[in-house]
Parts: sequence; C-alpha cells; structure tokens
Amino acid sequence: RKNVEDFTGPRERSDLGFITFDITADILNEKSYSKAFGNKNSIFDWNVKQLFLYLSAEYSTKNNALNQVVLWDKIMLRGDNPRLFLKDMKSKYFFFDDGNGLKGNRNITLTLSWNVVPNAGILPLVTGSGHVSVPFPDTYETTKSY
Amino acid sequence: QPPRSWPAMLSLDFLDDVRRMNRRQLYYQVLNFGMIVSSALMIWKGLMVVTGSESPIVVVLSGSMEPAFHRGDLLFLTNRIEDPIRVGEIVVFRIEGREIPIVHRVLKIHEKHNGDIKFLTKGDNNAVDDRGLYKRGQHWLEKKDVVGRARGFVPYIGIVTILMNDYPKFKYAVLFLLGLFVLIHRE
Repeated sequence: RKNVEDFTGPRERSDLGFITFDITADILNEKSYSKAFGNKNSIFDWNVKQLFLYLSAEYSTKNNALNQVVLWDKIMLRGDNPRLFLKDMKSKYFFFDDGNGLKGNRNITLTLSWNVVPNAGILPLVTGSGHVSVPFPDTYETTKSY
Repeated sequence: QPPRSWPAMLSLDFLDDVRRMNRRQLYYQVLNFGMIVSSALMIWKGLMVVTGSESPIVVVLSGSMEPAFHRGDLLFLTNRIEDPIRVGEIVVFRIEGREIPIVHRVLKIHEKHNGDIKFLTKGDNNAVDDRGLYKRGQHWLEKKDVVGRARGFVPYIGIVTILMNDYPKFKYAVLFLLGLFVLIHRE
C-alpha cells in the first residue's frame, strides 16, 4: 500500500533516483508474521523489544542481476503505535544506482520489511505482504539552477 | 573427606593438602583439566563448522546498533555461502587490515549475474553509512569481508569478555580462580 511519484537525475556517472511515497501499514495484524509465530493478536509479544522497519527498492539492471537499496527506515519500539500512516515521505538515503540502470527501468519493486529484535533469541527478517512496482521515466530531469 | 571451607583454605591446611596429594592424583587432576579445555575447544570448532563462520559468537563492542544491541550483548552468527546477503540483514565484518569486527546492518547491495556482490553497511545508531570506516579508496564491502550474519542474540552476557579485555587484572583473577577450583575439586 504505497503510492509514489518519481523523477531521476544523473549525478556524475551514476543514476540517482528520487522517490516520494506514502506508507500505510498495519504491522499488528500482519498475517504472514502471526502465522509463523502462532500469535494472532500482537506482534509485540513479551519477547519483542523492537522492530527495525525498512523500505527497500529492488530492481535489476544490465550491470547487476540484483540491486537492493534501503530508502527509508524506522525503529518501532514496543509500545509504539503499530499502525503507520505516513504521507509524502522522502527517501532517507540517496538512491544511487551502480551505473545508469534507473533510466527507463520499468520495474522497481518497493517492499516494506522488518527485523524483529527480541529481548533474547532469534533475529528474524520478515517481509510485509504488500509491495508496489514503480517505473522510472526514460529521461533525466534537468538540473535546477540556483 | 569433608569439603574444604574457605577459612580452612586460607589457613596453611590448604598447603599441607597440596603437598599430601601424591603424584598420581596430581597428574589425574591435570589430565582432568586438560580434558575440560579440549572439550571446550572441540565444541568451539564444531560451532565453527556448523555455522560456517570463523567466529560464531561475537560480543558487541560499541553502541552503534542501539537500541537493538548494546555493548556487551552476545551475537550468534552463521556464514553459510548458500545464504545470500540481502538488505536489512545484520552482518559482522572486518575491514582489511583491522582486527576488530564491526556489527552493522546492510543498507545497499549490487549483485552481478555471476554472484559477485558488493554492499554498503550502516549502524542503526549512526547518522551516516559506513563508507568513512572502510579502507581508504574502498567504497564497498565484499563477501570475503564478512565474518557472519547475526541470527540470534543474548543480552549482557558478553560484558564479562569486555571487562576481561579492559581490566587485565580481572582476567587474571578469573583465570586464577578457575584454575584453583579445578585443581582443588576432587569429587
């Protein structure tokens, strides 16, 4: 459940992508997680200290079979609201490609995942069930003058 | 024989006791001690094989992954080649030429068709990624830099290792007491 608008700009020799996004997520009731751990009501059970959430973009290019870039992350502590309603977020980290693989790339998949950090025990990585595919345009945006 | 109590050990009774131990008993105790040490080493080597990591258990040394991990937490690692490196994973890596392993999270990966991968890391508690930590001219980490991926953890326990490192006197005291205990214990 993410909406994006985007444009790209070349930076030296690598593509740099800009994405703005909204995130609507209900981690509390995330079905895939509760099935694995047998707990219907709360992802924040007695042994969960925090969740490390991250939004990652995954795509393929001519140079690289697989690229993954974290655009945004957030630490959700036990006791924080498990429902996210974020609008018009800008990516926290520069979305550089290793080359020029963003231009005209039709298939960038954005996924929200999280790392469950227990008080003690196993550290699982869970992928959220919604994901969105985003295309980058064929042309670069002209650089703004100041 | 009744178990020795502390006051008895502090008095010269203890020294008489050691003198009275005949040679066979002494060798037996030393062998016992050797067995314990060998078993511990075997378990450690076994862990190295099972996890594929040269250092299957590490202690967190800095606060750069707070609030998830704090100094003194113990991490359990695996380093199986079949497990691909993906963003979000917590990796323990060494920078070429440096001894101290660093525990941070994978922020970016670029993997080629032949499996070669280069990736960037960042500590949760740091404002910037780790490029500043890498070797001069190095912009990415590679599989060979990885000691392992963190799969589980236990808090606090590693503090003992940190204490032993920072306060050598403490380390000697612990080793001395352990040695004493094993040699004296006769049941």
